[in-house]
Amino acid sequence: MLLQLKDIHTSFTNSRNETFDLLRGVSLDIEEGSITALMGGNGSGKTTLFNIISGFHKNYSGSVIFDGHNLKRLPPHAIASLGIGRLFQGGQLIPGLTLLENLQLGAPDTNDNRPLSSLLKPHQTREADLQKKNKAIESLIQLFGEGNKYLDKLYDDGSSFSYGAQRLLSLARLMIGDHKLLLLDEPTSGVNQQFFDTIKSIITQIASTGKTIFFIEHNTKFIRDIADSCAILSDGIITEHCPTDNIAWDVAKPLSYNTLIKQLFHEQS
Amino acid sequence: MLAQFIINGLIMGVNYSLLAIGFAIVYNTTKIFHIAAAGLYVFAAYMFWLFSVPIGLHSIIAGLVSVILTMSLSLLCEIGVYRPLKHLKATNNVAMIASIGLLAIIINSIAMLFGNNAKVIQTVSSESLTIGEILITSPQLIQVSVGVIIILLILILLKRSGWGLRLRALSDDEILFKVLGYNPDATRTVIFLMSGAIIAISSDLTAYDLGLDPQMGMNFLVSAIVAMIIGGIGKTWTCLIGGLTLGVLQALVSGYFSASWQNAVSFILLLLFLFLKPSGIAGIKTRTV
Repeated sequence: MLLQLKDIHTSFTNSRNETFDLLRGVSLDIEEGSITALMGGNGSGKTTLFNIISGFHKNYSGSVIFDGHNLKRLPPHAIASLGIGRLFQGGQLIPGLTLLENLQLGAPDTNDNRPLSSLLKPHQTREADLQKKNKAIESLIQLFGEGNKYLDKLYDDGSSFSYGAQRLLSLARLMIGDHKLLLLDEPTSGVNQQFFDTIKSIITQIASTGKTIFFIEHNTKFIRDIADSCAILSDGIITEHCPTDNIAWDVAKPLSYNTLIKQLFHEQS
Repeated sequence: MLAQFIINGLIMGVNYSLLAIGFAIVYNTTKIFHIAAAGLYVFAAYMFWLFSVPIGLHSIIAGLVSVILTMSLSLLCEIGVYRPLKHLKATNNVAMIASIGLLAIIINSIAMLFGNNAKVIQTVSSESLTIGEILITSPQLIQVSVGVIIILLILILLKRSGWGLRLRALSDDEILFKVLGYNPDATRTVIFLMSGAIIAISSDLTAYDLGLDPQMGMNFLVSAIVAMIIGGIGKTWTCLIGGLTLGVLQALVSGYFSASWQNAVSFILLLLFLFLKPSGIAGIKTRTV
């Protein structure tokens, strides 16, 4: 197993000093090379679970084992360095950096990291930067084709791209990195049909390189099209985890989200 | 006469720009309103004086010692005060109040150790360069040449090196910075070391020309902060535009009106910019997605 979540518990205290348990013993195994979807109602703790895995939420009990490492005491940057990439909800490019710089930040760092190295070893710095630039351009061509519009916008600020384009480009940045596992938080939320199809194709391409993908999603068609398995987070625990082929997707009717989930898995059993 | 005022203003502007960059590197990346920079400025000047006058080292060696000690004190401010506050999730206002406390501690310690009297480093009358009606003293020449070289090196470092990219990334989005695998604490260490070095160089250049006293820091820092704001917050090179603009304006007001209005003109300029062009001269616009 690449990722093992064992008996994760976490609780929150609200402004009235009332404590409520959000996660009450989440256990889940994610196989290497798989694409796993995580479904659950609003406020069920899906993003909190991702925050626990990526080290942004430390107040929990249980254990998160990634590739043989216990992530409990590691800070977010160390967890990322182990090979966990993350796509958050919302805009994803760093606004004040150009597209090229954003992509370069995602590339593995081969530079001499001493602050004055660019002044003392300008040639090596230029070489390393050139390698990163080439890698960024290669990934853009691989994902969006030769002569795509983003190649003409390499020096545009991250903030100048639309929300949908930022999500596409941040997926491209994840593709450049040396990640083993990608945590994608609602990759298709708030994007139009064209971006939706492109995101689907990008995630499929990334998965074909052997990376493991664990993603939160509400769109059942998207899940059915790309995921190998689907896990349901409800009442603070994983209530179901099974291959997507075993799920009766045809019951997907205009129902409330929680009802839909119950019905999908009821039909399956 | 006008040309002389402008040259004097540009030279002072280079100094403001340097100090503004030292302040802005910390402010832009950590959002800490680093008032203690004024204390570091005074500390650097006194270390420069201590090692060059009473101890008698060559000015360049004394300057280097002053820079290294100020870098250490700057890092101590970060490791001893700002970083623990950040890990305790204190707001930036709390960090600013702590910074004011640090300033008071540094200034009072220096006044206690060295007294409140002004001191001078350059005791003999210096040679000067005359171009037509313009006269530039040798300390001024050192200020402008060293200042410009250092500013250019900083700008190249920030633009060309991976560290420059990291500083700008941390400044824009700390969460994304971490999730991309970069260590914010290690980056902040570099930031405070760089800031300390820049503040010390700016201070040493000024102290060599104008002398020093324990209260000098705040006046210079206020001008530097005004330079940073009127240049445009968020980028480092804008400090240069702001610093030169402020330096020239102050020199013209001192020359044609009254030297006592030198600080007042900083605030008038600041108010004008805040009301009419809050994004500063560079006017950096961003798209809100």
